[in-house]
Amino acid sequence: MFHYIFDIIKESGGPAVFGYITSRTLIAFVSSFFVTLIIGRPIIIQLYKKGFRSFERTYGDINSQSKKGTPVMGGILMFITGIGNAVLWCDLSNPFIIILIFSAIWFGVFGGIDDYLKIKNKNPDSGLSRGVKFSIQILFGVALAVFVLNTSISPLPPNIADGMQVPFYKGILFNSGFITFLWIVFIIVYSANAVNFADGMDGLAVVPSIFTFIVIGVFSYIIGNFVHAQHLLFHFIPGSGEIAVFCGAIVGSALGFLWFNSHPAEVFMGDMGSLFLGGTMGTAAVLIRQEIIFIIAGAIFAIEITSTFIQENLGFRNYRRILYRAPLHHHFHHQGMAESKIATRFWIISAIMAALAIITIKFR
Amino acid sequence: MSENGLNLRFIFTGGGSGGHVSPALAVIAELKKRVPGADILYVGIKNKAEGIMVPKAGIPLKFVNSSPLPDKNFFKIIKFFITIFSGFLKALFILTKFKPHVIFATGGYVSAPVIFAAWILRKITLGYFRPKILIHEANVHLGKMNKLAAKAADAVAVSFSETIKDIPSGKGFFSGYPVRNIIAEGDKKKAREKLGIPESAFIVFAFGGSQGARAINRALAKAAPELLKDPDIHIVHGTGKPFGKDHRYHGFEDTISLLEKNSPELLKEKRYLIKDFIDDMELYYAASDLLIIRAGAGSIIEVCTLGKPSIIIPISSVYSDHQTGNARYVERAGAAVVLYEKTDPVKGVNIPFIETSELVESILSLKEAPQKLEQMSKKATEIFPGKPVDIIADYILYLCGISKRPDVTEGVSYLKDRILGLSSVELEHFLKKVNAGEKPLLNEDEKRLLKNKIDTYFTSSNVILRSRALRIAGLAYYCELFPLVIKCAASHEEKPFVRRDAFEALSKLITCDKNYRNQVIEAILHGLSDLYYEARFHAAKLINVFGAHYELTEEEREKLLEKLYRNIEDRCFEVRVESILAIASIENDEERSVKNFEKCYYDKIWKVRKALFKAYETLVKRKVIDSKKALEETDKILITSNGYITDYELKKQLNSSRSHISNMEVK
Repeated sequence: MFHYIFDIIKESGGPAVFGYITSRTLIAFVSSFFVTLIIGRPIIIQLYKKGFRSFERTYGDINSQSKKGTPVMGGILMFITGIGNAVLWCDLSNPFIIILIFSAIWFGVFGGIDDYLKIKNKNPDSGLSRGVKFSIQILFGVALAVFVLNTSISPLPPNIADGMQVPFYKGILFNSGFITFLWIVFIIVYSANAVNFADGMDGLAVVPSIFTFIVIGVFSYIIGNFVHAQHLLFHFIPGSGEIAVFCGAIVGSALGFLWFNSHPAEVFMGDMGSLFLGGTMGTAAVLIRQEIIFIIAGAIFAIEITSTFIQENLGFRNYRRILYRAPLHHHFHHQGMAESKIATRFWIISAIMAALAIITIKFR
Repeated sequence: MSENGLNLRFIFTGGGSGGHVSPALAVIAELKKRVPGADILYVGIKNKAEGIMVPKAGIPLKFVNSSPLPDKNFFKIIKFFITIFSGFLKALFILTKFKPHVIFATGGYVSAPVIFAAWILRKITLGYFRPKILIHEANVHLGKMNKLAAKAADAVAVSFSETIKDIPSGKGFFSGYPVRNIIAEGDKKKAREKLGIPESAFIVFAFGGSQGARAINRALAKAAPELLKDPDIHIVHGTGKPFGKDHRYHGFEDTISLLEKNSPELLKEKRYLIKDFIDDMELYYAASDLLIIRAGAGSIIEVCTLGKPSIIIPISSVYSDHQTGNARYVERAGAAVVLYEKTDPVKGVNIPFIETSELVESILSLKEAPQKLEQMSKKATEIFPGKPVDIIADYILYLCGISKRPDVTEGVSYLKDRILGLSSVELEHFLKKVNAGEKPLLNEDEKRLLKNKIDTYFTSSNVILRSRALRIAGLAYYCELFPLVIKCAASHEEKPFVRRDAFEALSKLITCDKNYRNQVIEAILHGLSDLYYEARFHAAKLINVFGAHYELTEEEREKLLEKLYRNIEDRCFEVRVESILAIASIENDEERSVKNFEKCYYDKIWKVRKALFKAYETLVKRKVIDSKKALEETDKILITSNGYITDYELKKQLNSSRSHISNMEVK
C-alpha cells in the first residue's frame, strides 16, 4: 500500500530511496517484527481465554513439568502481522505477491480450521483428516503449477517456467512441463508437511523457517534484479524481486513470534503457523524456481520429514522401530537430551545449511 | 395430494441383511393400512435379503448397484466408486420416473445411491423436485453411510435415544425399531397346530440371521444329540444361506456336512427341523419357547417385543462391539442369557466358536426353570416401549403434509459399559488406570468379557492388534495365555513388536504358573540376543522381575551374565541401561562387575550413567560390593549431562494451592 505513496513521493520530486526493494524489505521486516511484539501478548491472552490451550494425549492433572495449558494456534499472530505487513509494503499489483498472499491465506486458514477442530473436540487426532489435509495441499500445488506453467498467465519467462535449475550449474538442466508440474506439487506438499513435522519443540520450526526465508529473499532479490542476475549468472525473472519484501515481512513476524515461542514457550504456533510458514515458503521457492536451494536451506525440514518417513514406512511396515522415536527431535529427546539443547543444535545446523545455500550463489 | 392417498408415492430402500429390510416392511404394512391407495416401490440390490422378503410381501422391487465401503485397497476403492456411480444413475432414473413424495431409508450401503440421487436432484432442480428423506437407524452407533446420509435427510428416526446426539440438530427423533405386526400378533397354540408340534413340547428355535451364523450353527449341530435325549425338546434350526454366489460361509451346507459326519441319524429325526431360509418367521417365533439368536438390533428388539426368552450370542468383532452391547443390554434387563463366542489362541483356533457344553447346559437349565422363563419373557416385553411403527408412519404422513407432527417420545436409553465400545488402544489405557487404582477393579462379568476380547484380538491377523493383545493380557493378568506368551517371546517367526510386547506381558504374568519357570529363563536368554533392540531391553528388564520371584541356579546366572555383559556395549542405549540394572540385580562377583561397568563411565547417553549409579546402589544393598568402593567408583563417572527437567514454578504453586483449597473445603 505504501508502495503507491512512495511512488507519489518519487514522482513529486522527493527521495526515491523508500521505493527500493531493499529498503522496503528492511522496513517490512522492522515493522512486522515490532507489530508482532506489540500485539503478541494481547493475542496470546485472548487465545488462552477462548480456550485454545494445548492438551496431551494422556490425560491427567496439571503437571508442573508439562507444557499442558500453553495457548496454541499462535500461528494467527504470524498470519496477521505477516500478511498485514506484506499488504502494507509490497507492490500489490505484482502477480508474485498476489500468489504469495493467496497461499498464505489458503494455508493459514486451513491450518486454523485444523487447530480449531482439535480444540473443539478436545482430541489431538480429531483435526482435519490426513486425506483432507493432503488434498488441500495438492489442490494448491496443482493450481500453482498451472499458474507457473501456463504461458498466457505465467509471470515467468517460458523457458524458465518449465526448466529445472540446480545449484552449481548456471544453465537449465532440462525443460519439461510434465516433470515440472509434478515437481511443483511435490514441493508444496513437502514444504507444508515438513514444517508441520518440525514443529514439535519450542522454537524448532520458527528459526529454520527464518533462515530459509532469508535465503529465498536473497535469491529472489538477485533473480529479480537484471544487473545482479546477469552478473551472477542467474536467469532473470522480471518482478520477482518483490518476493524479497514479502520474505522480509514474514521473517519479521516469525522473529517476533520467536520472542514468545522461545523455550519455555508462552505460545505454540499450531498447524495454523506451521502450514502458513511451510506453504508460503514452498510457494516462494517455486516462484523463483529455486526449489533445490530451498531444500538445502531448509535441511532441518528435510531431515525431520525423512526420519518420519523412514520410521513409518520402513519401520512400522515391518513391525519394528528403526529410530527410537520420530520425527528426529523426539529421537534425541528420548535419549534424554534437553529440549533447548536439541532446538539450539538444530538451529546451528540450519544456519550452516542456510550459509551453504548462500554460498552457492558465487559458485555457478 | 388427496386424503385417501391416491396420489401418494413412497420409495423404501435399504437392505443387505434381513435386519434392514424387516423394519421397512413393517412400516409399509402400516402405511398400506392408513393410505390404501398409495404407490409403494422398494429399491434394493440384487442377491440380498430384500430379493426374497420384499416380493413375498407383495411389493414391487427394483434394483440398483451398491457395495459396502472397501478396505484401503486402491483397486477396490476404484471399483467401489464405479459401482456406486452406476447405482446412482439407476437411482436417478427410478426417482425421476416414480417421483416419490417420501423416501424411507433403513440405512446400510444399499440406500446410499438412492439418497445421493435424491439429494443431487434436489440441488439441480433448485428444490422444485423435492422428495422428503426419512432415515431409520437400527443400532446405537450411527453407521458410516447413515452419518453421511443424515446430512441430506429431513429427519432421522433412531432406535436408541443415545444416537440422537450424533445427528445434525433438530433432525433426530426417537421411534424405536419397527416390528412387523404379523410377527407381533402370533399365537402359540395355533402356530404349533400348524407346524404339527405337540403342545407339551419345548421348542428351541435357533436362527442366526438371514445369512446364518457359523458359531450358532456349529454349536447347535454338535449340541443337538445331547439335547434331544430329553424327549420334550424340539429344535428348529434356521441355518441361513448366502444370497449371492460369492461367499465365505454357506450355513446350510456346512451344517448338513457337519451333521452327516457326526450324527447322521439326526437328519431323519422329526424333532430336529433344519431349514436354510425361514420365510414364515412369525409362525416359528410364535411357536417357540426359547430362542437362540444373534444380537443385531433388529433381532433382539423383535424377540423382546414378542416377549420371548432368549439365549443371545453376539458376533465377536475386533473393531466394533455393538452386538455385544445390545446383548448385554438385554441381559441386564433380565430378559436373556448371553453366551460369548470364543477363540482359542493357545490352541490356535481363530474361528469363533461356542462351547457345546455351555450351550447345552444353558438350554437345559432354562428348560428346568419355567418360572424363570416366564419372568424373562415378562421383562422382555418391558424393555422396548412405544409403538415404533405408528410413530414412523405418522412421521411419514407428516412429511407429506397430511397429518400433524407426532409428539416426541422419550427413548430407550442404553447403559454404558466400561469395557464395551473401547478400542484396543483405549482398553489398554483403561486397564493401566485400573491397575494404578484410579478406576475400580473389574468384576467377574467384566473379566469374562475382557478375556473374550483379548482372545479375539489375539487371533486376528493384524500384527499390531496381536501385540497390543499381549500387552493388554499382561495388564489384565490373563494367566491362561501364559504358555502362549512365553512361546511368542522366544519365537523367531513372530514380528518384532510381538516379541517385544510378549516380554512386557511376561513381566506381569510371571507368577502365573511356577511350572513354567524354566521356559521363562529360556525365553529371557533367547530375548537377550534378539535381533530387535526393544526385545533385547525388555528381556533384560524381565530379569529383575524374575529374580524377585524365583531363585536362580549358579549355571543360569552365569549364562545370563555372559549375555548381559555382551549387551553392556550394545548399540542401543536402552539395552545398555537395562543390562546394567539387570547385572546389578544378579551379579555376585565384585571385580567382574566393576571391570565391566567401567566401560560405561563416560557413555555418551547420560541415562546409561544414571543406570550405573542405581546399579552401584543395588550392588551395595546386596552386599556384593562395600560402600567405600562403590563411592569411589561413582566418583569416577562423568556427571555432566545434556538433560534436565523443566519445572514450571507457577504450575507447581497452582497445584499446591489447589490441593490445599480443596482440602479446606472438605473440613
